Amino acid sequence: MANLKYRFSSRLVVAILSGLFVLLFSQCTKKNRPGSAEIHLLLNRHPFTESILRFIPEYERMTGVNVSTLLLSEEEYFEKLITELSSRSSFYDLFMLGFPHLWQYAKAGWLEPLDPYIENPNLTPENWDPDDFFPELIACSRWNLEQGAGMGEGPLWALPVNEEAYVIFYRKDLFERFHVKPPSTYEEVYRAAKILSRNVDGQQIYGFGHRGVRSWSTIHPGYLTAFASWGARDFDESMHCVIDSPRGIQITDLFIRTLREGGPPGWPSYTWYEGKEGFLSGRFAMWFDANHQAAAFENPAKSRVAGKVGYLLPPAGPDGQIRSSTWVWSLAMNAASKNKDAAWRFLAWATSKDMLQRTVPYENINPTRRSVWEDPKTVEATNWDRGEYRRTAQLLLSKYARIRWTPSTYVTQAGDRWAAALQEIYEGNRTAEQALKDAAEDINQMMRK
Amino acid sequence: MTTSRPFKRILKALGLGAYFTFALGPVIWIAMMSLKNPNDVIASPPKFVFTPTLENYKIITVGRHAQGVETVRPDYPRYFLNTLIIASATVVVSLLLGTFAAYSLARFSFRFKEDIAFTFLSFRFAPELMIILPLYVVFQKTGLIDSYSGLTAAYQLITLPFLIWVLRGFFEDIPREIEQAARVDGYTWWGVFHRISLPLIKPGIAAVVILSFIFAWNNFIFSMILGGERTQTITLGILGFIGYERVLWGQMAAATMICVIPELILAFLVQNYIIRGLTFGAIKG
Amino acid sequence: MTDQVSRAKHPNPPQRSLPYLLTFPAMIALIGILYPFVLGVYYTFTNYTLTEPGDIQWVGLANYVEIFKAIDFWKAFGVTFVFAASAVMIELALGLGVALLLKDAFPGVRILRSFLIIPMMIPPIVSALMWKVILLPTNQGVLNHILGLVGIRPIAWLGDSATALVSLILIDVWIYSPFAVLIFLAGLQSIPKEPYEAAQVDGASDWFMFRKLTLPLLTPCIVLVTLFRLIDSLKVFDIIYATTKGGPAGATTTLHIQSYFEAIRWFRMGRGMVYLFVLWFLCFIFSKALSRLWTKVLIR
Repeated sequence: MANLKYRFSSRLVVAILSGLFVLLFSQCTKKNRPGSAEIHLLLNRHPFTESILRFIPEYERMTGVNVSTLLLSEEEYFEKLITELSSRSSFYDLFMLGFPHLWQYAKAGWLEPLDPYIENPNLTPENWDPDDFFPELIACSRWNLEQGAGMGEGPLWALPVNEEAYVIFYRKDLFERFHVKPPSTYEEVYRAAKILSRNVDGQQIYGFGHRGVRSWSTIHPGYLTAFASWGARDFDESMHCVIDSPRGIQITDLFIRTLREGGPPGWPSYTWYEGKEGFLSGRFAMWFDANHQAAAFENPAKSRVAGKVGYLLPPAGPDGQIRSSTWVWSLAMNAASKNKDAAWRFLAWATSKDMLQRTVPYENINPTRRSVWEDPKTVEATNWDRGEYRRTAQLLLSKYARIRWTPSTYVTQAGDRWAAALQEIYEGNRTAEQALKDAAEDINQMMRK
Repeated sequence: MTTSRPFKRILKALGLGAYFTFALGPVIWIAMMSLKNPNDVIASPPKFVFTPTLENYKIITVGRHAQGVETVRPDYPRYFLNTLIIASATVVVSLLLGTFAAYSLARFSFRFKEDIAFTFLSFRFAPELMIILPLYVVFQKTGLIDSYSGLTAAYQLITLPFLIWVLRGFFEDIPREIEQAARVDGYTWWGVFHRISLPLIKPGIAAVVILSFIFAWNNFIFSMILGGERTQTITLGILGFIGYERVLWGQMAAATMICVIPELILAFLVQNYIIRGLTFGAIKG
Repeated sequence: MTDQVSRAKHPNPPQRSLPYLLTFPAMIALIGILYPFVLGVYYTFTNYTLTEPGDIQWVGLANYVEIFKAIDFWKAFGVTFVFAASAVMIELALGLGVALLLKDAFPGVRILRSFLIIPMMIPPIVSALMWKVILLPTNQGVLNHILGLVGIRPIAWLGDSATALVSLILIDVWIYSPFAVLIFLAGLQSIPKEPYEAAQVDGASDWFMFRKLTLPLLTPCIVLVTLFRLIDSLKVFDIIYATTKGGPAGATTTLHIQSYFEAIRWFRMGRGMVYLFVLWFLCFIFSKALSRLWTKVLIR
């Protein structure tokens, strides 16, 4: 009996295997359209990339160029990207970047400066209008490779496609119900967080949420905004780490206390999506993160708090200054690419007025071109909280939001070590002063190499 | 005085119940997640009673989805196929290469035998991160990036040492008299090998096949770094549900359930042999 | 491996070169990693930074000295060790226990034996992500919710340095104890019945039979499980990467995780390779010891 069964299943297995091998070989021999150029994109999952993907077939028809893309989640994306670039592979022509990576890769010589292409009338359509980009965002993408300075000068390394600044999302209904005034200083945030951490209608609410994992991306949003607003800096002019300045220690202590006494348990494990989902499902009274997450919060299909969300500019520091952090996603070109002209044509197309406009409905906000931001369709799509969202976003973009990191290639290293210090303070292993001093020392050592 | 039988039975049942609740509980939870709509999936507090929906499965297999629900590109069937091809090819290649090596390590005496055996095992020591970057460069220079053959070659590191080590045990368990008798009858070593020894360890081969298949199927780092757009595998595909906006837990759970199916099928096919098979491998009474 | 083996001499191969010919293809397939491995070891003696690939300088033992002096290294070393030792010991105990429960036939045993492999079939990195959801810190997490039903307050499993490592060990045990169960099941099934029958006739208790008969006869299985699980749990990466990334406050940072930060996040390949080389060395030492033990046990 067993023998018969075995013979049958072994034949089945052989059949399946042969089928697979046939498939394998057929895959290997598939060829693209002969004679046409081909460009490869390595992209992370982002509303911009996912929306552009929809339009790629149109581009291919228009130009006859084959565009192949590989899309990965953010973490895996950067790991693959560093592998590709550090081995000087010319396989991928275009990829997405944030500014810390832009600085690192530009210094390593892996990025192609874009000015010559913009100024070349054969490659760039006439109505492409480079001045339509917000000048602040273009400045973020220029660097003269000088550690500690030079942002806004030097070659243009990438084109911005998406921008975010940081606001405190707050639950208007909860604030009203418990008679709490929307906070305008960080002490008020602390007090509000404590008051609003309570059981409301059977659900446990936490007053204040923020990212917490051991990564420089934890430092970057709300915390760095608070840090900068308090007047503290990461590095001084001679690239010496000064996160342990008295002001830095003060605000760090206040911030972590807010999280400990007014935030959710297990903060060190909070990724951005867990925190965001926390706010979406109504469990946080405040969430200090990227302003464009409003698109998710205001979507009644996904969010339980649609219509109840308020947008607060980040609180001012002791000297009355608001200094928000900002993040810019950009598209850059591989310096080792063998199809630079074709790659540039695609890059120009993807960042043109038309395309950036067409990605807005797919949640690619905030747009990086002025014309797109002021287009009536965009205005209508982002008119949340009776225009309050737009008002804060506009203010942030023009006045308050800047890159608060000193330009250098050490942002990720310093940030990771810094975040580890925050976790130590939160766990109670160290005071703010001790943890920041140790971190500063470690970071200085790291940079001495 | 032996303890009473019914008491023992109750204890046994409790023990098994506890373990299987532990082992299968999370799997059932994942299955439930795959049937929930996005609002229910990470509801707080977690929902045990909900209206099930097949939407997640529809999205990842066919690509249809309701308005307002976010999704990733429905390439999942392709990832599934890629992984099937690569894992199967890996196991086949490992069998071809490893069976001979295992046989000679089991049967013959030659210089450096134990060293060679330990060397095979030692290939498993290298942490993936240690070799992945230079390996990437090698693959790049030889054009093996993003190719089925390249990944199959890389996966040998995971499956081959394991296969050799275990099959060696099986071969050693075959009573020598049988082989010696065949030799006396005039068979060459090859004749003995494929007429006598191999059939006798069919159970062992079955056991090693399912375990190697699982190891190859589940791999993450190699396929991420050494693969590319054409050869994206299922592990990477499932991780792809970590979107920019939020993690699409429902779809991820559905993808996970589907991912398990080939392994389950293979396990059922070889189930008998595994138990009987491993018997002959590790120890002998 | 068996008495028969030790009795009969290994025959000489028909051709002197045959064994080498037979092992050659397998060796070739695997030899490909020698180059990356040697390169990796070379990097430990340099200051290779990923973003400055043209500027590699020899620094001798400087990386090693620096790393061994830092307390973070020893902390990671300790975490690696605690994780591996705990996971292996629990998997051994659990594996043996469950195998003992499943060895006798009873209605439904074959289904149970098939189902128990399921945790291993899900890619570990995906399992870890799913477990992260189950272990969410507030009572949004299923585990906390269930514990809440019996009055236990929510625990921040992965977010509290006191419980993070324990949670990870739990996940590892969940995924890999089927491996141990499978191997022990096989071992138990091939144990001959005669010694047991004889012992029972003599009036031996269950516990006595277990200690004096079962355990010794299972020693090869125990060594096998320990060997494979020890190597894999020393090198564990996926599970930690998907959940805590080494936090909170370094409570779950193993050597492999720290090397990820050093090499991939901070681009300091030289230092990253030191961590990895130490890890490799640990695997090497333990495997050598265990494989020697195995040959000794089996010849007996």
